[in-house]
Amino acid sequence: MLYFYHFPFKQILIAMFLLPILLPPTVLGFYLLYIFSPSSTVGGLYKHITNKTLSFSSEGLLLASLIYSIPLAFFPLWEAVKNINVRWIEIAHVFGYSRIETFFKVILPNIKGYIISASALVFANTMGEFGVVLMVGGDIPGKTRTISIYIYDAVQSLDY
Amino acid sequence: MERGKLLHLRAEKKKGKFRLDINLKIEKGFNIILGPSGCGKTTTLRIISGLEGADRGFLYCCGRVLFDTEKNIFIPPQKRRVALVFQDNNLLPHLSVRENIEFALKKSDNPLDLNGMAEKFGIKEIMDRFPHQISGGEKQRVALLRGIISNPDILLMDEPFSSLDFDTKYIIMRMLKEETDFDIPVIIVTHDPVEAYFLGERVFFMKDGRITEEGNRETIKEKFKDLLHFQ
Repeated sequence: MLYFYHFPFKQILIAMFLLPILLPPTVLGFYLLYIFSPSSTVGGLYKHITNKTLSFSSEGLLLASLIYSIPLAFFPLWEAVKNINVRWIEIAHVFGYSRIETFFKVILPNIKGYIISASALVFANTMGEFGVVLMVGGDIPGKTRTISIYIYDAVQSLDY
Repeated sequence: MERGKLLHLRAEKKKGKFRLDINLKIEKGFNIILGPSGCGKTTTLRIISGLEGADRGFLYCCGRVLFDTEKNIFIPPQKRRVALVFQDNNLLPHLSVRENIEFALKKSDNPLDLNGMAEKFGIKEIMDRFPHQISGGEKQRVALLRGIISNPDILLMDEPFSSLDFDTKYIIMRMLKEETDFDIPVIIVTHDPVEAYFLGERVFFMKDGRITEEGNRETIKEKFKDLLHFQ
């Protein structure tokens, strides 16, 4: 949608998507920790709905990792959508296919390779991420300890 | 709408400095809109197909109102029963030729025999190939067959032959004339008087967003006699 529709401040919105890659992971982690805390609007709303805290939880960790990885997924997906010819979409509409049907029958089959590569990048990045994960997750054994933090802890205690 | 006319379009649209102001009454069979690039031919087709709206006007086709700005009616392209053939990029790259044609058939109620039609259009041998494995002429044949087989109320073609070499263009145009018998309005836009002369039963000359003259093959012959004589 971001690619096909033109609206005011589109470039600013794109820059916002790319912002996580410009911030040091620990700084981004700190901001996310602040946003996820029960005293903030987002964290408070999450606690109100689920009766759980978003910070220092595996859900919060997952969300933070996704936010941190958005720029990595953004470029392959942007490139994928650039390769979609608008005419294919128009042909589908003219032949009676709704927007949703067009997405699944025309757009998705033509970008699936890019989606796989974006997913692989996000997965690899999330597995190796340290700063954001440590700040938001807090290295709680059995709950928010990830492989990279586990390795770090092992090295710190000379257990290798 | 006048008796005998299947489609009546009245549309006004402003696009930057360009202004389209068109009044078009179309009968069944081949109708050519002939005009130079940028005169509004493609915009006219897009308005008929519903891919673009008009600022003011209406479109009646085969007893249906497809849009009427005064009555606030706008039927989306999905429900207009229109087929559209572009100059290029008509085929979906992830589907084979057969699947591309079936793509249009899934939403139509046409009992036409696909294999028989494919043979008629000379594409039977390439039905299992993908678009990148066939020539430009074959792609246009597939696109034409897909348009026809979808059983539309209106068949629209936007410069369908302009990317083809002369021989291929001539073969496909002849096939289109001889192998098909249209009981619906077929609107072909082109900037090429030779194509218009070959296909046109009725010709609308368009310039600067307006229909300037209406005629037939004889009118084209008269207007472009030097060019047609040379060709």
